[in-house]
Amino acid sequence: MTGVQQARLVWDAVDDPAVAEAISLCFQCGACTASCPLNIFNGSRLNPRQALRRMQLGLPADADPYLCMMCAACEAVCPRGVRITDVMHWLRRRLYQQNQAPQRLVQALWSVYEEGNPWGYPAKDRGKWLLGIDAPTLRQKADILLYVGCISSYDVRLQRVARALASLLSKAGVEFAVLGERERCCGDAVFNAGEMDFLEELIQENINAFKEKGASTVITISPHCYRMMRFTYPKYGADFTVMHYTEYLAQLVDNNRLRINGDANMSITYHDPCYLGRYARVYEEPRRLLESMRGARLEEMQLARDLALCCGGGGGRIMMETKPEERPSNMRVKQAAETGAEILATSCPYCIINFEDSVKLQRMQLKVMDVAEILNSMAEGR
Amino acid sequence: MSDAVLVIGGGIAGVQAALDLAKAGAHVYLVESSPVIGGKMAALDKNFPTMDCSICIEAPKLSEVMQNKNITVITLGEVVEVSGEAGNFRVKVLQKPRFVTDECTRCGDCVPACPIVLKNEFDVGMGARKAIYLPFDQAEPGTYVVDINNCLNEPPNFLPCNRCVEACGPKCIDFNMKPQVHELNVGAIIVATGIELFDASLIPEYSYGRHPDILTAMELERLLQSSGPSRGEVIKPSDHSHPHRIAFILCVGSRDRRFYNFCSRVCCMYSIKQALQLVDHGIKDVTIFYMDIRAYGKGFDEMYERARRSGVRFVRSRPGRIMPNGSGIEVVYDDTVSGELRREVFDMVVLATALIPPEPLKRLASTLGIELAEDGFIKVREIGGDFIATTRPGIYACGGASGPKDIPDSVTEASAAAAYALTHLTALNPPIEEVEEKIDASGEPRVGVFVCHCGSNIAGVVDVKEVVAKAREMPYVVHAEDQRFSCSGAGTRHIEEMIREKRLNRVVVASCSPKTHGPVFMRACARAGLNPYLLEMANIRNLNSWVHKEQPSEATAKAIDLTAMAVQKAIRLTPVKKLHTPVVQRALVIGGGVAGITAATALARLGFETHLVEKENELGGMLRFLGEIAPTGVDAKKFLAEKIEELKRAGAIIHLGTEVREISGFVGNYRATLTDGTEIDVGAVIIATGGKPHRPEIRYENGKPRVMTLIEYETAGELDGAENITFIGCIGSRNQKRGCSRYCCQTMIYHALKLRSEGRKVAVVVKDVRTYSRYAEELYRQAAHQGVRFIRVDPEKPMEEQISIGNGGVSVHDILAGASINIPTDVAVLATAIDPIEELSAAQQLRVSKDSEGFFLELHPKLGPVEAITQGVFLAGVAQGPKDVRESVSQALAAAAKAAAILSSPYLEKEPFIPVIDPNKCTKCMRCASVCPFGAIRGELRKWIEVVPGLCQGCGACVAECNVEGAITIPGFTDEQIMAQIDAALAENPEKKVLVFACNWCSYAGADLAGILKIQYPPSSRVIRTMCSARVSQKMIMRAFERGAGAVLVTGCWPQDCHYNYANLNTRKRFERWARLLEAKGVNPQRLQLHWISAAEGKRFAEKMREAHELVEKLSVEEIRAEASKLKGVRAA
Repeated sequence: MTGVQQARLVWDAVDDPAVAEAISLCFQCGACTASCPLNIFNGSRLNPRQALRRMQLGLPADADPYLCMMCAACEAVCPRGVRITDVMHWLRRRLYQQNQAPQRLVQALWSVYEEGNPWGYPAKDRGKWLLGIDAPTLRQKADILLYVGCISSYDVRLQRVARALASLLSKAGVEFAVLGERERCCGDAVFNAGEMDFLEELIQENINAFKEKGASTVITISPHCYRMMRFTYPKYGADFTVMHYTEYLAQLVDNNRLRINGDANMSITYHDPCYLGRYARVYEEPRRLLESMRGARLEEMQLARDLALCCGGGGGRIMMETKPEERPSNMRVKQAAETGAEILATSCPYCIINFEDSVKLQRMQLKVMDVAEILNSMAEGR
Repeated sequence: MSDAVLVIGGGIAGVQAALDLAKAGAHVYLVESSPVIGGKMAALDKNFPTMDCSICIEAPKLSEVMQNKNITVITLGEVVEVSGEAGNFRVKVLQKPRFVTDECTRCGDCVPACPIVLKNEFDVGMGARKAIYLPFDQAEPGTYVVDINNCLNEPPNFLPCNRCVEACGPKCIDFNMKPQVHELNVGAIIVATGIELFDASLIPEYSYGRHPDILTAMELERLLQSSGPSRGEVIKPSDHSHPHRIAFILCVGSRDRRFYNFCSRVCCMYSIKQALQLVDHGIKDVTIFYMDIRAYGKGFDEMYERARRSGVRFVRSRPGRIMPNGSGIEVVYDDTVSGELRREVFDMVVLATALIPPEPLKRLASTLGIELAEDGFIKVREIGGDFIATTRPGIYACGGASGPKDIPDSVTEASAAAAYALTHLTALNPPIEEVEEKIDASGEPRVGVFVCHCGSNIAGVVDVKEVVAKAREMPYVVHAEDQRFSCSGAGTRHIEEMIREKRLNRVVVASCSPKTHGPVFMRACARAGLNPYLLEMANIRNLNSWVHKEQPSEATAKAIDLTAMAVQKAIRLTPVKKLHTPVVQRALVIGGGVAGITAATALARLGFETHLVEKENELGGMLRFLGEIAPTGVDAKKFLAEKIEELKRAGAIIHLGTEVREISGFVGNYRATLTDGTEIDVGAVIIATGGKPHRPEIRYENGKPRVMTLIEYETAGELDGAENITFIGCIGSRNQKRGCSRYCCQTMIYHALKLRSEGRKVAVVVKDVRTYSRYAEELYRQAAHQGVRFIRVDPEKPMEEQISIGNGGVSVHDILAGASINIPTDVAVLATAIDPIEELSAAQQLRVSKDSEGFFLELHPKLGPVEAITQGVFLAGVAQGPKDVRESVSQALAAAAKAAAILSSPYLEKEPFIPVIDPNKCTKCMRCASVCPFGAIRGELRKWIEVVPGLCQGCGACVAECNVEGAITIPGFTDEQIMAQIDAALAENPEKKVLVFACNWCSYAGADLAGILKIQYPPSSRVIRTMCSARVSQKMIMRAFERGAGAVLVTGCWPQDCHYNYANLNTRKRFERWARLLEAKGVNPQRLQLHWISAAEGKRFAEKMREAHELVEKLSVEEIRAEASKLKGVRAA
């Protein structure tokens, strides 16, 4: 052994015991790297396996954790059950502490601090999506709180989804509250940057706001908010039930409170958002909702459920620039089109933005719609 | 109280347990849930690492089970109730009806009549079967079965189809059969229910089920099998074209927290085996994707190396995606060694699916009142250090029932379970066949010829009446007739009657194969009071009517020839009796380590006087130096003390500080002289002499880190507060000379985990992590989870060259990080190999051979892992190869069971094919002795000579070697008989005939198989069967050519498949001599050919027959006659 550039094995290089355990568990099979959408659809860019190996030996990880879309495609196939996204997030935390987080995410952080959303829209405009909604069921205080989320509150395209959902809830006679102008970011954008102190502050504020509204159940539109609230909030003392709207609507349909009567006569393929599917394993409810429409034909993509390909928006990537030719969503809309479906349905605002972009970019005919939108056109009012 | 044992499961483990028990005198009820016995092994094409044809080596065991009087086989059975306790269990077995009676003749006429086409489970759905069927050709029991759930006659369907009933000649299909309940009283129960295969479609990223060319390994196995759905062609199921690029994916469903955490133990090796087979098929681009290559067994690393040398590419990676695309199947993977992400397109992808617990095991376990472990397999109590005893006394598990296992480990455990089960029995009744022979056969031969129609199987092609008419004209034939089904109950009873009525003293049955039906007719002869060895069969079905369907007149002529050959042989047969040699019911165990102690205890417990000889002054062997036994952490000291206590309690006689000085004799009768002068006569010998720890040749500076071997570490037990400990594997193992030492990975990991739990920093340096054993993979996972670091080095270079120890650390290049790394180390622990012991004179005297690494060689790596090649000598523990304690104990128990089978009977019985030397003619030149593969002929040049019947296996190699007329003969296959067969075969048109010598075990079975598969070939061949191709002598070859045979083919087993310890190497040597001789005489060298044909190569047999026929057709009669005349006067030998 010549000993040139020989590194010394360092123990305890990772300060978080849960992350250290995750790293340790890896037996280096490489399934993660070979299932990462960044790699399989864009050529090699992120090698989690290699990063884990280097970390096992106490060497610098040599990987850009901000490339990761936190889509958890790797975790779905990991035979050892390594929480790779936790490791990526730990790397982000460390880079953030070293002031090496990408500028865009740091900006987003400030926007959340100042305006309550990562996009920098004025906080006072947050309730504007409600314009034109005739919502007799909307209450000041209610057991059920609809948490709209930043992007659905501001983005014109996605406001339509929020309104569709509100309308569906009304049709089912659900009495619910919204926070309106007082709603603030769920914390996902803060978490993605790797900032933890502000995250805690924000979460506490939100928990208090929900309490004030008397909410025992929070329904989210975005799976990103959903994951945050379902898996991170409880660590900060949250004790309310969190449901994704597809779960809640599925209950309404099952209980016959929401009646879907129109004749759909369309073929739909459903895309599983990563944060809803792989993180929370909500695979059946959205499909059940779509299938509840008479005449709807559901076509599955080859990569569905656990294997669904990320749109490219997770892990804060929605905030960051990805070269048009490198967007995984380009591939995903093609996969959707291959099924022969006319409509690509999904249930995540980020997915909708990315897919619509890719459809336009590639001059395709595919129609991208949210499940709530499709359903609302078929649902019967009271 | 009972003398019976219930064995549940008729796979190879259950079969082995049943045979061992029956031989030791227990009555066995073998319950199998499917219609046939044989299990998964029957479906495999070839076995690793020997490349044996799987069914060829298993089928003899299956027919042994069927013929053993001590075994009752209950197929389609399910154990529904168990009560009582060890020694006295009451069991209810529900047997579903087969709807076909034992009268079935296997003619197969029902099959074409059946209108229902279904997937054949035996071909894992790749082939078809009917609703009445036999799962595979060599199936036992061979009675067809009705799949009533898919049959149109299924009640309450009142519009029965009945087509099969109408097609059945012997009228043996009976839809009125009812389920039966068997109430059994047994002393012990053995569970051998085997494994099931993981459903690969549960792994979505591997796309199984979405493209026909993504196969499971079992599906490929069926494609490789020459009697499988593609007749041995490797084709892509999608378009039947030949694939060029094939990928294997290991650990599909196993070592995966989503499905099964355990290692399936066999996939690495069978994939390497399949890869080698594909290379043999001319497929050059074969890739194996692996995480660890677990080539832990004897000869496994060698095979791995062979695969690498043959160009098989090994990529350390678990692919992330396998996706069909337009041009093939894309595999996306991260090459973990080069660090490159690749996507490659293959023509075919093979998934090595996990071996998992069968679903019905849960119900069975609750019926039996035994527990299952977390992994779903049967929970075992490591009471004796083995893995055999379940949680309920008197119930034992073996083979796949207690975790995935390969064949040798399964049969070893099966024998071990048998050893345990025997201890619960009150009486043992070794099977002794007694036949009263009333007929004196010494007078003039009176031959009866019975020609079978086999429904239309024979009669549809051959003019049976014509054969009978011709038979009547043959010499000494006093009776000839045709029968519809000779083998049916009515048929055999009629033969018995005719023997009595016509006072027949020779019987010729012209029907099917003597291999399958010989015993049926021999029993008929015996029942009539005729010596069963006076039967001869003419195989006019498998070798004739089935393979010459389009040439009825030629087939009839051939049937007449075959019958004439049989008659000619029959009139020269002499009555012989199975040999009985007395057995000394006493055992000798050499070596007092854990294996020797276990074996001696087991034998002594069964009541045999057992002598244990240990050269040291205390018992325990290597176990004395261990603290805890991995992977479950059994306290070694306490365990050893208990073992020794048990040994003493069992009453074994212990000779300490003693060795065996001299030993001689044969099975049942050995005499040993010990170094203290004691003389002991024993019937069986167990060699359990262990191994010795390898002395590491590794240079390091003194001081920090401290360096010690694993054994030294276990003995030391204290590390002086060392903080950083580094374990280093493969010291002295896995190099050019040696394979895997098997025990080390799990032992290192066990200790690493323990040290890590104490808060120390522990690294383990490995080539591969080989935690194949039960619970060991789970231990590996746990160790990783706790933070043990695994550093991986190049598997191809010796470990010693890859590490440097000193300066407070261990330096090594980690192939996965692609970086050199220094591991801070206070103590470096070397996992050293187990080396073989030097010489053991007793073993040399017993002619026990050694393998290439210096360990003792087993009889057969698959089915005879504890038997030495010398009969009556058994191997246990490390003496046979490196092993852990668990495996050593199992093997020791297995050896004890095998020894018990010999010792429990006062006599040993064997086939009477033992050569007889005529002292008046023999010159004592000792040539015969020099070719005997078993050392069964002994003597001194020119002085004396004798055959030791106990050692002889009956191959006949000796007889063929002798050049003195009549000096040595072997009953049943005498020169005179074979010469008469040659003459009869060549009586007419010899120039147009191909004379074929075929060995009983392989090429004759291959010829039978060609018939079963109905592979058509020209009718010019005439086959003469001998036990081994080594029986064929120069005299026979010369006679055939003198008589003008167009061509002569000598055929036999592939050398490694030989049933007589490579006796057929003699055949090859002699063949070369004959070829030179014929060439020198001006005979066309193409006319004499040697071909190795395995029992599975029916297609190859047919091909060779066709080629030889084409050759003969090209030659002119004049040419052949001219060449024949040149041979006049050539010495016969």
